Amino acid sequence: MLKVERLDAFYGQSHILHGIDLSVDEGRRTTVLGRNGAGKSTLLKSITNSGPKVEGTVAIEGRPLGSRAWFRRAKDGVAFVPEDRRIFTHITVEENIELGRFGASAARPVVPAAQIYEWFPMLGPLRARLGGQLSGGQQQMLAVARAVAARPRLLLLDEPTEGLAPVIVEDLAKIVARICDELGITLLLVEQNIWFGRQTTDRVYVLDTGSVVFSGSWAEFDRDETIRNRHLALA
Amino acid sequence: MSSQAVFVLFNGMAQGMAFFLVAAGLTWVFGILKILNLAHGAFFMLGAYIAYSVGGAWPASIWTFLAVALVAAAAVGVLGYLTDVLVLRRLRNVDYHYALIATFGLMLFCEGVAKAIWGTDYFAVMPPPEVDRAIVVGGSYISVYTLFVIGTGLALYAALEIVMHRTWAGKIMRAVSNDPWMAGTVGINVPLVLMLSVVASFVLAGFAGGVLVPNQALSPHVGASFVLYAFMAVVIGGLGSIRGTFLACILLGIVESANATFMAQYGGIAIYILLAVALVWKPNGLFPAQGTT
Repeated sequence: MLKVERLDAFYGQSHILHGIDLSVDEGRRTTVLGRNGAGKSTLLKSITNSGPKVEGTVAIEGRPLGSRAWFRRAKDGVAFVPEDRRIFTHITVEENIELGRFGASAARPVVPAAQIYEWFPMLGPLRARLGGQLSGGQQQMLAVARAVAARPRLLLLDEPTEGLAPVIVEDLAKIVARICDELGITLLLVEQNIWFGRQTTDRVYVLDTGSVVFSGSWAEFDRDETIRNRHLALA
Repeated sequence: MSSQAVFVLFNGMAQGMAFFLVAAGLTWVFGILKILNLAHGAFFMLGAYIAYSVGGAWPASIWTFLAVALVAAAAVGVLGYLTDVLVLRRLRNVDYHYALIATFGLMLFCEGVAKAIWGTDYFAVMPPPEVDRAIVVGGSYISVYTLFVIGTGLALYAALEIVMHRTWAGKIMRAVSNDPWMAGTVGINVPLVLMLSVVASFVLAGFAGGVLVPNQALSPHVGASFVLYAFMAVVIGGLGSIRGTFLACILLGIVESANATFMAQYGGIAIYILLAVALVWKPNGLFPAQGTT
């Protein structure tokens, strides 16, 4: 479904990603792990063409996206929740979700508001509140709600658990897994929270200094102590 | 209320609304593109000249006058599109100093073009016959054209508020203003929204030129004084805030009018005091723009 081949990414003179090959099958869910600075966020921004200069191929459902502008990627079925959430702070929760529907198309009709509020019960009572008045956890829920409102084919989540209370992280894991199941969404998750990755995905890639150093199932990851020690510095 | 007070109020409101007609496009484009367009007054001036060329010095009726103002608005809107393609689009991702220099150069260019086409002679355009008279309000003579300018300014403000806060277009523009990168990420065609915002700003400048042309002698420098007040209003109101700019325009108009009526020997000083006080008291403006223009 998502196929990334020989992907190089640059910010100015800095060469961040080096020949990344990565693929996620239709409806499957994959986590990308890596230390800070490994290039995880750059990978997601390269897939959406929304930051770094990119060389190599990104294809969705067999169609190479080429140099299509970042604002056209939502119409291609790609939804991106960035690390800093980027809620529109001065419009309401409801309006944030409405704007998320821009990426919908004839083949992918918008998700009805009632369905969104069923998935995210905490947002219902907040629908008239401004985005900037939400707590971090509420903003994260809203960021995901906004991203799935257009019924995307591919969901990119960049460290959604960062700064959230454990109870919210648990809720978010259940919600993300449920939505991906119900809409058949392919998920590419970037995380440092391994627990969250295990709860929501079945495969894992490890990035280190811009290169893929591991790919496999969670069971294979658990067996490979070297990877964990050398590239993730886990105890 | 004394007749002088009535005069100050009406005259001040008329001036304020004239300032607002010019400032609306300026604050709009700043709110969305974060570009301070120093050439805005020059396009207001071109709108006034176009209205003069199309409608002549004696408008047949208020309807032809308004139609001519809309033609001027459309023509300046086309110039806005060309300006966006040739100049402003190149300034989206560079330091704002470049935008100031480029738009200042554009202002000089427009004034040169106006001199080449219309010369340096002054022209006068009469108000349409329906409003070219005075009525007595509270013992003071008020020009009906003054009331027409007030009405037009209020209508424009109401229209902009409705567009910004009650329509999809407004939500999109506020989102782009708030965070263009994220707006694009959710699928909004950001370059198109920015281009349309520039065109809308120029349309407003052209419309202001067409509506206000009877207010003054028409020359290539006619935009300068208006745009000075418009800039003050935008700064006092909060850069990019339409509501703040609207209130600041009223404040400026009434203060200027009171100054001219009660302290004529210190003409023009009050607005500078107002500007200084506003900058000290509310340096970010009365209504700092918050992703809402």
